[in-house]
Amino acid sequence: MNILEVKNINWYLEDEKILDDIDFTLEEGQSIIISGTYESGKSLLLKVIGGITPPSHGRVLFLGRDVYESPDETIDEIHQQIAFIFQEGALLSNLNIRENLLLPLKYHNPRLDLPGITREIEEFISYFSLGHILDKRPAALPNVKKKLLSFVRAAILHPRLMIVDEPLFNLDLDNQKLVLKLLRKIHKSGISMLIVSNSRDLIKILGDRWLVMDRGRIVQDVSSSDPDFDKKLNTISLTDLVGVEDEI
Amino acid sequence: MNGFLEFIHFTAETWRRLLTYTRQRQASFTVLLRQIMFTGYEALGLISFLALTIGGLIILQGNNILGNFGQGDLIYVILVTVVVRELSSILTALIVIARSGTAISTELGNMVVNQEIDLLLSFGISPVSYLVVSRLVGVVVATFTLTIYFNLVALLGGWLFSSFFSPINFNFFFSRLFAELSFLDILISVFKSMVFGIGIALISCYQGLKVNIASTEVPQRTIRAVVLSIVFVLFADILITLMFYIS
Repeated sequence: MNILEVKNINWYLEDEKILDDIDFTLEEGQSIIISGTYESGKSLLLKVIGGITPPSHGRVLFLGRDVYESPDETIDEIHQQIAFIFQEGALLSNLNIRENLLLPLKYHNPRLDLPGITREIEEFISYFSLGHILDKRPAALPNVKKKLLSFVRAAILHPRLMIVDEPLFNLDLDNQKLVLKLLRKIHKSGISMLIVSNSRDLIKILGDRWLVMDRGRIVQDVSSSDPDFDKKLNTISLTDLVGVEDEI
Repeated sequence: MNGFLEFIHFTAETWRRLLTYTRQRQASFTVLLRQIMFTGYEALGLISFLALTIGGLIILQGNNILGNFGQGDLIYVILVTVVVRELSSILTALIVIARSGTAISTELGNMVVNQEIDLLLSFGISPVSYLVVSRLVGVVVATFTLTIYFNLVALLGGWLFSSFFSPINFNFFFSRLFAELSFLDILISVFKSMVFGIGIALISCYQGLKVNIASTEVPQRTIRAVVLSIVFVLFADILITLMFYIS
């Protein structure tokens, strides 16, 4: 069953075409990694798919329901099943960390099992060794911690689809390993994933399919079951891919 | 023209979301309480000082001029006309613009730049519902309450300053004052404050959310929010005064 259908997505900035006829589907439980050059439009594509930036043309269907052209209640339901992790982490600056983590859950479920969720949050905080940070404001935290907290927030949502923009960006090697381990565990539990990354390690570990974008178009679509998967992965020169984590 | 149409659309969307606000969760309620605290409670000191001095100054000038003509009793009419009908709502609105209008516009602008608006959208939380409606209700409630408070303190200031010149009985002063004050005066003052609050909140939120990408846009949008809010308040005041008093 397709959890996601991306149909002929085009996106224009004034007269310039930034996304050009993007078309693919994601099966339930599958993970797709999208790689590409710095200005290939991959992060924008995630925002379009995540219901944040409407496309100029085309449709995004989540479990057959349009992410943009649906009644408010349906759109609410769709968003409760999608977790979006931004490249920089993105936390609301006027809320403390506890309020930040609980906001999407509290907003959609007024009768929240607060003790259960709090236990789960504490487990993740301990997994990432984040210390006593729940009552702090985001401004008091380094970028690495903000980024890791965005994974905690996404994980406690228990989504059906996780959209992640550059999961390894800004992280040191130890934290990269922790994030990869967590993402693999989440993926193994059957959650579908759509990830933007140029990390070959991540593509090998998590990718069921690998899409390569260039100037707003998908130029390569390779399945991990393809006998030439590793070969194709190795032929992509990293100097062509401005992957920040690879540069680190 | 496009900007104006966009603002009308934004206003309509805000009203639509306002209708379902009671169905909102406690998360929005926290934003509302914080807005009332900031716009209302934290402005009490400044409003008190301003209201007290304005009430006193009117008495000082009024006693000086009217006393020369033996028309000292007109001071009550002047207090009601100047303070209750005009100054209380206008000065409160100007303070709300200076403190909260700028804060709202700056905060929302920075939220756009820091991808916080995108984050809310990704949660399926409408920024209009969560941020704008809460601020609209908060600013209107605070402006309304501050205007009533301004009136009370300014009239009290009038009595205090009068007492400096010639001791005047508190009950006598206020009975003469209330004799000049009609229910319509209070009603219009309150009505004005609500209209001003709605305008200030909508303009400030709209300008804040109009920031695109760069942090340099934030101060530009904030200045625009202040200018447009002042223009709105003055035009709305003239219109309301024409509607109720001139006709």
